[in-house]
Amino acid sequence: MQDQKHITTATTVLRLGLAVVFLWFGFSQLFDGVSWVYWVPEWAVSLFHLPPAMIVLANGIFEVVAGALLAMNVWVRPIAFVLAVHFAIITVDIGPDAVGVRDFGLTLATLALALLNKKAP
Amino acid sequence: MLLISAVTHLEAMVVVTYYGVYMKKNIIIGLSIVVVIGIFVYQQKQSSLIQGSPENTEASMTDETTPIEETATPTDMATESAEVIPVEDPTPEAAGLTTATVALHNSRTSCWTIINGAVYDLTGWIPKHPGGEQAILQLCGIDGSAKYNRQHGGGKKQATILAGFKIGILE
Repeated sequence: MQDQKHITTATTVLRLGLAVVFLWFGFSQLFDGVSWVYWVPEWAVSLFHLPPAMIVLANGIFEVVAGALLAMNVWVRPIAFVLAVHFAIITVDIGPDAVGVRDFGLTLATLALALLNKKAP
Repeated sequence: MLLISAVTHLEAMVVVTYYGVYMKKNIIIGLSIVVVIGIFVYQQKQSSLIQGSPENTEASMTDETTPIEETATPTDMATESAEVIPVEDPTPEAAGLTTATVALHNSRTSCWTIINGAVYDLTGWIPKHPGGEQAILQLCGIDGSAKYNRQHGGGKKQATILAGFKIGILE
């Protein structure tokens, strides 16, 4: 029982922490899209056939919505899984440098949330 | 039998009510976080626009003088923009940047331009320019100061992005 309480608390901390991360970056892309345009990988432009600015905007909206759902504890497991895949793609795109390793950690943290979360009560 | 049924219904109502309250609490907390983070990011952006001088803005981006090789994603740009790292010559040619040198890089595969006395390698920016490729391609190998200043002069965001492509000062 005590273990379950700890797991619930840990999951809530992880969920809210990741929600803040995704909300921050999502809003940043919405409010300051121009600064992010350069970082759109070329393959994404080819894949979606959209201008980089539109991809930044769409990504910002996606991250804000996903972050909001995490914060509200709604559809946490599927959202966390989708975000983990999203982060994994970014991590692979970055490569094995300091930033890539950091994002690798965030990818696994998001995946852990997808595996851990069991909606209470 | 009737009593058991009533108790069961009562238990179900308690569970539903508890679940409803729990959900409402989570949604209120979640929406509060969304609003707080949104306001925080917006105010942070506004304050950086007001306080950031062109010198600071340029210096903050000089750690990205090799944009083609840079692998960072959007998540890095905002978080690391406060770091100031002195510019190192990213290419051997950066030591002797002349108009003639820049003129050699006048193609899509190697696009250098001069803007306000500095030399920029815009090759990696060609496919990403929000205003289209042609706007950058027309600057390759020449002094693009007039065109840049006419289109983006005074724009802090554009100056910030441009600073990331700087490879040296024109001799």
